Amino acid sequence: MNTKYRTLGFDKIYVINLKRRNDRREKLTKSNPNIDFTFIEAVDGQDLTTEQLIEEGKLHTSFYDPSGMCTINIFACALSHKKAWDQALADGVENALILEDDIYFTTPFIDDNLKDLTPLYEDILNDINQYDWDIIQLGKKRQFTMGLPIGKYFVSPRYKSNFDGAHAYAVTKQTLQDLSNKCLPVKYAADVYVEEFYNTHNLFTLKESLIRQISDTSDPQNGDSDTYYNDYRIGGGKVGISFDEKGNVINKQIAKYIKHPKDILQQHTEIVLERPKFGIQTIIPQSGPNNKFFGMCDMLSFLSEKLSASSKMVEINSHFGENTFFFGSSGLFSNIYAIDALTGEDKFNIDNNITWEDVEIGFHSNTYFFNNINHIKNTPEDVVDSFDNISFLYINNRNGESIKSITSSYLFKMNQNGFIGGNNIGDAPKNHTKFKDGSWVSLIKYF
Amino acid sequence: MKICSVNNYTNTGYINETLIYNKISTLLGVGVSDSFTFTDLNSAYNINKNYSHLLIYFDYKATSIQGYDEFLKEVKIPKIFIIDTIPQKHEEVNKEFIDRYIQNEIYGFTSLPQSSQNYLYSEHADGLVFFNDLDKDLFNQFYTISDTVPRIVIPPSLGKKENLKINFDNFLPNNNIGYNGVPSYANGFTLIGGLFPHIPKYNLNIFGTHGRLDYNNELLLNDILPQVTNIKFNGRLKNQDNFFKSNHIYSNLSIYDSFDYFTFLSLLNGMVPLLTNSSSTSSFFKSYPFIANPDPNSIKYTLNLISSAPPNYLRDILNNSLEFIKELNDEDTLEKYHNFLKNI
Repeated sequence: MNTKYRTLGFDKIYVINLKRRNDRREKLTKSNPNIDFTFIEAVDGQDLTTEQLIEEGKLHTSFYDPSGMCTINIFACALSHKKAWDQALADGVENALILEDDIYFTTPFIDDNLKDLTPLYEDILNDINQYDWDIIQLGKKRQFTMGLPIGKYFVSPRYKSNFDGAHAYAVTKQTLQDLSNKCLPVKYAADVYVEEFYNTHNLFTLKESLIRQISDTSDPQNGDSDTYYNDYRIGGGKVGISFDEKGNVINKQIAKYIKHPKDILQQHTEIVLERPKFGIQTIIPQSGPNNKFFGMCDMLSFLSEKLSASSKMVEINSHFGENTFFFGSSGLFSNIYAIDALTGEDKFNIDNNITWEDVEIGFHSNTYFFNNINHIKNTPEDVVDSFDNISFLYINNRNGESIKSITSSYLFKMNQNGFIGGNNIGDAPKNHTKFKDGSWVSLIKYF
Repeated sequence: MKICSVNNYTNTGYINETLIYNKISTLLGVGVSDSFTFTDLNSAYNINKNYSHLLIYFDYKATSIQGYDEFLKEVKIPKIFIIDTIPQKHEEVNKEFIDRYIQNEIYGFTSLPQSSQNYLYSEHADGLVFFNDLDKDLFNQFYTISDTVPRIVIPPSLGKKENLKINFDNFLPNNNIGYNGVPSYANGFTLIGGLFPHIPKYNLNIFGTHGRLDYNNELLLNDILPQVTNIKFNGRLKNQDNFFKSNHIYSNLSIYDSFDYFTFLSLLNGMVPLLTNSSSTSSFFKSYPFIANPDPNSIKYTLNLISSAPPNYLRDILNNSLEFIKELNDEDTLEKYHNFLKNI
């Protein structure tokens, strides 16, 4: 007889269970009277906010998920697993089986009459115990898992193929410590986090899942899952999923934006949970009247009275295209040429942890609606000969460098009544018109 | 001279690559803070300011040139590619595997297209380091890089000169054969699958992970293992001492490899390497009698040679082979790197 049959061959079984879900606890206990469960009170997403978790250092400002999904309850679930690992470590066990409370056994693990493990399950345990395992997964969301074969029943699953489900896995003492040590601040859902250990540990999965989650084998419309389906229904289909299939953020209460939408294809989407570092932040009101917004509107209003219809303009150093968006919105210009080399060391980028790839994505996001905006990835001097009859030259001077060489080369490409403007008042000639945000314009004759 | 490195080893499950990367980094004083990834473009400016040379470890299992090209364009210091293996040769070997055993074109080869690889090397390489002569020749066959780009063969080092000795405490002749690496066709696993049912007195203990060609390797091992009882796949090797003690022979039956670090580690730890003459690793074993042709009969014959050799004779052979690989010591390797880099 297996002396640990009541804990399925492990030192202890920990079950993650929300206090408000006593129904699940009772159901699990009643349907498995010969199994000793130790219940861990789960961290409840209903008591948490993203901001609070970030402030307390429990949640990273970037969350990574293969399919770009995150909810407050996914964060809570990850913290609950950590609570279970820490409890197991405090109990001094050599190994522990971690379960979620909504599981069921697809085949009996215990023979209730013999008060022992069933022959099949005993064979599974004996088989895997010949190997130097760190984590063994007794069930996943899918029925079958592929991988390199480990004995008769297990596989070493292919990296990035085995994210789904952390509802039934056993862990050795050392690995419990590793899981706990590296968990905070949470960057992954519990199952994705466990999967990451493939790279450093022996993580083996049953070829055929013998412990399943009820919600995985029922109709998704009725599935009872506190990390997903329940909130999804309560929110009328708009809570729980953070992004739609086009990468648009649905649930802005949690996710602010996807860093690089293309990463969805690489199963490593970075979901940013804090205010965007880039994009259209300069025209989003901080508090009170936004001088940037009004300054730009006043400048365009001023130009609308001076420029003829269908004028052409060039913007130098368009960066994220916040101003380009305004130029496009104004309807004043038939063609807007936004020039940025998108290369080289840039103090602003480094100070704000922005890369040129971020800048390119940000520019596209801000301007893709306008067909008359051309993004030219080159230095202004290299492309100056491509232009003529420009009515307005706008120079973004983020880093406060001299604009003399740009103005002198572009002056010859402008029409006689054209204007030059910029965001840095220090660049303006003596005769200029200044706006609320410090931006300026001046007729070219004053250069 | 202050050296840093950049790599795209996103799958840290790679065994051989990681061993070699760690060894070269330690030797050249490239610490964790001196190691960068291609995803942080701004680190290129940090590299320009603080370092003299950039070593590039490029995992060919990439799908797009975007990101790599951008990053390398920003780096203004000399860029040296560490060519840990030749991707196009792997593609060739993989095609052979598919044609012979799978006969299904969906089991393709994931890598950056050859033209993109060629572009990266042409545009950015200021120097190329190979691990063996064969790879240097193969590189010239597959890529059209200017002759003016300096090339050198510097195999990874195995340890300090004074420490390069065989530990015979583990030397205990038995029929256990060990392997630690990737169970792939290139590493001779179809040979293994064909051979081991016919040599039941030997046990093969495989340790390892999926490697770069994960789908095909999974397919191969799932095909072999159910048919044989004397091969066991164990997952990642966690206890090297046990491995060296319990296994007498180290199996490296590669059809193509560049430098199998664990073959050398196994020798230094008292195991007897069983090699094929198609592997580059075997080229470091001069006058070594246990190098077979890559066919089951020759391997079986060589295996029996090892088993029937008196222990003292085996010890002598291992000691002799050590004399040839002593050139792979830290001191000489470091000097080679410094001489090569200071001229770039």
